[in-house]
Amino acid sequence: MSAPMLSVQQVSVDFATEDGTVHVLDGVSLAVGRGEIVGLVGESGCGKSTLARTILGVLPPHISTVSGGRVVFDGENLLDMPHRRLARDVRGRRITLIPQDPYQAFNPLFTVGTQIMDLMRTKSPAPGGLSGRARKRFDRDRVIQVLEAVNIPSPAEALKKLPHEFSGGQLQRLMIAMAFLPNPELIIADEPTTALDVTIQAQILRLLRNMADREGVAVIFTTHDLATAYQLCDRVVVMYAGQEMEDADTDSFFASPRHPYTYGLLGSIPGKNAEVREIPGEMANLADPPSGCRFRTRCARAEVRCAEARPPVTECAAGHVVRCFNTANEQVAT
Amino acid sequence: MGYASVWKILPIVLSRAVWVVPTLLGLIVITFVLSRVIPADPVALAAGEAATVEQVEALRVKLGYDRPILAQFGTYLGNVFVGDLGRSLFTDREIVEDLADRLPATIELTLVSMFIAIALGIPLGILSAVKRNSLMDHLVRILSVGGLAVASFWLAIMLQLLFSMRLGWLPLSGRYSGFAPESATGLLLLDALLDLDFDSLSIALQHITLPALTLAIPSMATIVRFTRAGVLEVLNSGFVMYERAMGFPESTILFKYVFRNALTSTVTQIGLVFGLLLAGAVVIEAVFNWPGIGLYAYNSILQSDYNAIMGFTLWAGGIFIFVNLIVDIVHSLIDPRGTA
Ligand SMILES: Nc1ncnc2c1ncn2[C@@H]1O[C@H](COP(=O)(O)OP(=O)(O)O)[C@@H](O)[C@H]1O
Ligand SMILES: [Mg+2]
Repeated sequence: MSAPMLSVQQVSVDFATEDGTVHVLDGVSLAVGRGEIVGLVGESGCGKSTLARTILGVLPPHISTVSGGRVVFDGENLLDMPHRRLARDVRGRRITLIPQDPYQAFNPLFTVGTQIMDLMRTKSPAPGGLSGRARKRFDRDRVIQVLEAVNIPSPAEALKKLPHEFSGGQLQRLMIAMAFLPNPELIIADEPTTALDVTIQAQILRLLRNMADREGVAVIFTTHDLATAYQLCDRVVVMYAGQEMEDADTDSFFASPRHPYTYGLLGSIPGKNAEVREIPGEMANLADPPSGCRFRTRCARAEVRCAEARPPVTECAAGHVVRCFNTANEQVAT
Repeated sequence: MGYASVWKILPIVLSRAVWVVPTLLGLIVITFVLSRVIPADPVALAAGEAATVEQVEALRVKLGYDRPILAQFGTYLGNVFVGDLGRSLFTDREIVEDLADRLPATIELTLVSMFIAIALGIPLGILSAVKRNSLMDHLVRILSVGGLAVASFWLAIMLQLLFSMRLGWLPLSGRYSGFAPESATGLLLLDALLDLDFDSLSIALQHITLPALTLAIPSMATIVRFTRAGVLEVLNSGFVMYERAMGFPESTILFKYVFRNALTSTVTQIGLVFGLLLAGAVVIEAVFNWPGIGLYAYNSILQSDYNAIMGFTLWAGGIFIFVNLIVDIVHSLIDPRGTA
C-alpha cells in the first residue's frame, strides 16, 4: 500500500482546565487514502472534534497542547508547519471543514455571499494566471456552479441573503458548498448532521457522499452513530476516550467486529437486535484516565495486562486492525 | 454589499420614533409631580426672607400655584407644547432663553467627551481583548475599573491642582479667556476651525481639555469594558472558529467579522453612556465653572428654582431620548437582521 494522503500518528492532546489537565487524545493513529471516506465513530466527548481541530491546527490557543505525535499530510508534518503557511496553503484550501452546527458557523450579520466570496478571495482554485476581472468571473461561475450542485435554488439570489433567512438544511448545504469550493483533497466533516432535523439528515449525507465521489475528495466523517457510518463510509475507525480501538473496512467491520467496545456500540443501535444494550459503567474520566487501555474499566474481558500498556495494533484480517489482547477469540462476550 | 440599505431601516426608525412622544410625555409628568412633592415651598423662597405671609400668598396667586394641581399641570403641559418652560423664579428670565444661551457650551463639552470616550474606548477595548492577559490588558482593565470607581469631582480637582496650579499647562476653569470671538454656531471649536482661526482654536482647546477628559473618563471606562467583553465573546463564537479552520486571513476575521459583531453591543452601551455624560456634566461644569446647562442646573438646584430645574430635566431627558433614537438607527445599520 502506498503512503496514505493523511496519516495521524500517535497524536496526544491535553487541555488545561480549571480541574487540572485533561488528557483528551492518547496516542491516536489513523490514516486516510486519496478519495477515501473514513468514519470516525465514538460517543460524544471521546475527542472527535479535538482530533479534527488538531488536524486543522485550530485547537483553542493557550489551553491546549499537542504533547506528542505527527499529522503527516502529503509527506509533511502539519504540526511542524509554520502557522502562516498552514493557514494560507493548507487550511481552507487543501483541507476544508464542514462544521457541526451551520447556524453557529455563519456570521449572522453578513450575507452568505459576502462570506463565500471572502473564502474565494484567498482560497479560490482559480488557475494561477487568472487575475482581475477574469479571476472574478471564474470565482463567481464556480460559486454558482457549486451552489447548484448542492441544490441551492436560484444561487445568485441566495448569495444576497443573510444566514437567518435559510433553513438549517439549506445552511448546511451552503457549508458543504464552501467545503468543496476550494477543490480540496480532504474534507473534515465534524458531525455535519447532528444539528439538523432528522428528516433531512439522510438527504445531506447522500449529498455529501455523491459530491465526494464525483470530485474524488477524501472525507473524515465524525459521528456518534454507527448506522450513519455504515451508510456513508468506506472505512470505520472507532474511538473511545481518546484512543482508537478498531479500524476496518466497513464491510469487514460490520460483518465481524473484534473489539469489545465495538460490540457494545453495535448492541446500542436501536432496532438492530430489538433490545438496546447499554455498555455498563461510565465514560472514562479524561482528567484521570485508566492506564493502558482506557476501555478496560468497562470491559468484560479485561485482564491484568490491559492496565499495564495499551494493547498493540493487531491485524486480524486484511485491512482490519484492532487494539485488544483478546482478538484471538472470535466470539467476544459482552 | 453589507450594511443595510436606508429603505430597510426606515420602518425600524419610524417604529422607534413613534415612542418618542409618549416617552417625553411620561418625562414631563414625572418632573412635574416631583417638583410638586418636594417639601420646600418655592414661592416662599422666591418671595425672599423678608416677605410677609400676605405677600407670599399674593405671589402664589400671581404665579398660579394656588390652583388645583391638575389645572396647573394642564397649563404647564400646554406651555411646554408651545416651547414655553416658564420663567426662572430668581432671574425672572425665560427658562428657554437661559437654556438656549448655555446650550452650545454643554453640547460642545459633551460632544468632545463623547468623542474622547469612543475614540479611545473602542480601540483600547479591542486591543485588551485581542491581547488578553497581556500586560497591556491588565493595565487597561485596572484603569477601566478605576475610571468607574473614582469620584468625578475629586478627579477634576486633582487634575486642576496638577495641570493648572502646579504645572501651569492648562487654564484652571472657564471656557475661554478674555472675550470669546463672535460665534456663528455657538460651538467655539467649530467656529475657530471654520474661520481657520488657530489662535482661538488653541485657547478653546486648552480650556476644554481638562473638563472634557474628566467628564469622558467614566464613559470611556464603560465603553472599554463592554467592548472588551463583546470582542472576547465574539472571538469564542462558532463563526470565528470556522473562519480560522478555513484559513481566512486573521486580519479579515478581526477587522471585518469580529469587529462588527462586537460593535453591536458597544453601540447599545453608548446610548446609556450618554446618560452618564449628562449627569456628569452637572458636576464637571460646576467644578470647572463651565458656562453650560450643567452649571445652570447646579445653581438652580441650590436655589430651588423649580422651573429651571424642570427645564433642565426636560432638556436632559429629551436629548437622552434623541441620542438613543440615533443609537437604535446606527444599531440597525450594523445589524441588518431587522430585530425591531
Ligand atoms: N475548549 C476546551 N476546554 C477544555 N476541555 C475541552 C475543550 N474542548 C474539548 N475538551 C475536552 O475534550 C473532550 C473531547 O471533546 P470533543 O473533542 O469535543 O469530543 P467529541 O467531539 O467527540 O464530542 C471533552 O470531554 C472535553 O472534556
Ligand atoms: Mg464534537
